Amino acid sequence: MKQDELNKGKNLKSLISEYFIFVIFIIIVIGLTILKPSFITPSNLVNILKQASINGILAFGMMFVIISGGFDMSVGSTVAFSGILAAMLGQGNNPLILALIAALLAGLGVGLINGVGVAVGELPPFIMTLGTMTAVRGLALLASNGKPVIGMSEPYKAIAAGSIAGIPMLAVFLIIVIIICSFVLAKTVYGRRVYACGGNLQAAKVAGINTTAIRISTFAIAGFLAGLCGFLMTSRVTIGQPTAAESYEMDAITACVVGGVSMTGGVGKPWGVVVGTLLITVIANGLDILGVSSHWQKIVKGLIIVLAVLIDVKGKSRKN
Amino acid sequence: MKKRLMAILMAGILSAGLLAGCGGSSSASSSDTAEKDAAETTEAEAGSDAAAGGYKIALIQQHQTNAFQIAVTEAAEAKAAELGVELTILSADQDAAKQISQIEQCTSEGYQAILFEPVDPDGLGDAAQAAADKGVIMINVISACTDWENHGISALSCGDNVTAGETEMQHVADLLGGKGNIAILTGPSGDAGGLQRLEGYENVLKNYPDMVQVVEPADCQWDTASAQGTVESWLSAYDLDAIICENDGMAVGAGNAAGADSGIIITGVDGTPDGFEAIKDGRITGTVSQDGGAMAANGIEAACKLIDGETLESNTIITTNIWIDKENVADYE
Repeated sequence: MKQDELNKGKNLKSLISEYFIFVIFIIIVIGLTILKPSFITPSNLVNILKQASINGILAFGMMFVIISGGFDMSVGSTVAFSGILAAMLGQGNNPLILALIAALLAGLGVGLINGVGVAVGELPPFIMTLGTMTAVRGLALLASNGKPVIGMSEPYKAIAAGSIAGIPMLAVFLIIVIIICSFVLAKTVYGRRVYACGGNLQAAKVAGINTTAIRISTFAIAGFLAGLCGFLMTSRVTIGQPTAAESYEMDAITACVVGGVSMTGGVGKPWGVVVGTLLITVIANGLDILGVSSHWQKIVKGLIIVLAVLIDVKGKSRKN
Repeated sequence: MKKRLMAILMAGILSAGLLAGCGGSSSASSSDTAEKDAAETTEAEAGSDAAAGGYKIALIQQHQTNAFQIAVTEAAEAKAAELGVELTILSADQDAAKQISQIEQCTSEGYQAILFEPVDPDGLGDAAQAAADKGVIMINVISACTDWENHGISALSCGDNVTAGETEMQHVADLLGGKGNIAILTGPSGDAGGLQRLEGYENVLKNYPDMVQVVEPADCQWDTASAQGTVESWLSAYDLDAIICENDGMAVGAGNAAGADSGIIITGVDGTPDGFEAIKDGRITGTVSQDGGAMAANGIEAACKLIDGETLESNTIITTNIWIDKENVADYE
């Protein structure tokens, strides 16, 4: 009986720590609505969806990598490089599919190189992806000769600007990615193996899981989704920029960490990443709407990261 | 041992990937690569052919990663070809320490003149002085070292960021009739060029009390996507009449957020191709061209004169700003 109560108390605490970030999110939304009612208007909600999309897609790729015990610094550069390729191929009367496929393949290629380096070469993920981050940024600059690529075809520009039933196309892409990734991670054998690799690599190996293939695949997913973001990013800003998406990897990692994905691997839920992404976007959007200096945005974002991880760590030590 | 082998293998794969990437780019933009090749040849020749009687000049750019800097590279190459200069162009990649080493290296390789855009206005003065003491003619282009005349620098060829800011804001004021809600997008906080443009804005705004900044200036890091997000948010909460941006990239982002022919006056600085495209299709109103190419070309001309022992009319060569809008954009593409 006493044990039961104790468990209940524990459960309640872990429940609070698990959903804490969601509570924070709701509080921030309510707070912003009170401070500035125009925050909650439909047109601004559409803005938030648009602004969350690219980071959200990147964060979902990052989620796979971090849960499997890795880390990917290169996604920002990959967005820029694949975006440049898409911009070059998205000109004139080229069919759009060409630009999309080129961007996806470029992203996938970078992801595979990362994965092989980490899983086969046994390089620390940070070092491996730091290398590709630098080299791929160089490729983006080289491919574009340092200049923005202009002259995208109208249909290409229209992709990011369009919407279906009031939902911006960018968000439609995000929602599709969320549905597929959540399903794969939560409901498939592959998903469970990703968690197993991050939880305890040796144990996963002993259990007969092909950890090398799993780890390569997570980097490939992150790269592939970064390629998709490159395609969408170019459509959104209507130019291909070699310097675009600088430090987007940090925003993606932030969304994951804030959403409860543990940097040590093996832990994390897709819905948490959704909330993490929305939280970051809402803060940036809210502070813009309040007309607050962008310097404050950095401070607030930093505090939220530390707070989120603090809660993550405390929650875990309590469970143990 | 096995690990090391794998590491080497990985490096191999990575460089193979790099090569593949190069192949892809060269087919996509063959003219660009041709220019690059030309630049490399110039470098190679300059290295081997030291004293052929001509001028031997080095240009050290802050970086080579945007349209403005590439225009500088191209104009410098064209001017060098015209004057028969052996020109080597280096990029400091935004790294002051690297730029100092490059100046030292060029000095010991016997360049007669070194043109450079200081990565850091305070950090490069001593390196310039040391090179000048060894008889190298030092010239600042685009921006200057702090107190440059006392650091052995013979001439400065630049635009004026304060004037550029004034020109931009003055056009906005004229278009608004001196009255309206405005917002400003800036480059990275603390960037010297950005701060000077902001100073120019403020100089003009003093005369127009009815032009009100309804939000704090937003730091959008010269980035189109970042500017686009910020302006989208603003537009759902504020009634803006004009958005003034410190570069064209951010103006394009603001223009994307507002849409073509939105009735909001959106302006930039630089005069880069993305800005011109947006002016033509009505997403942005106009831009103030900073003619980086002319700054580099004037710098090279000045260097040649000084090498020949002539004196300059003035040791500060200012390139004028040009206002570009729908009327005259075709002349500048």
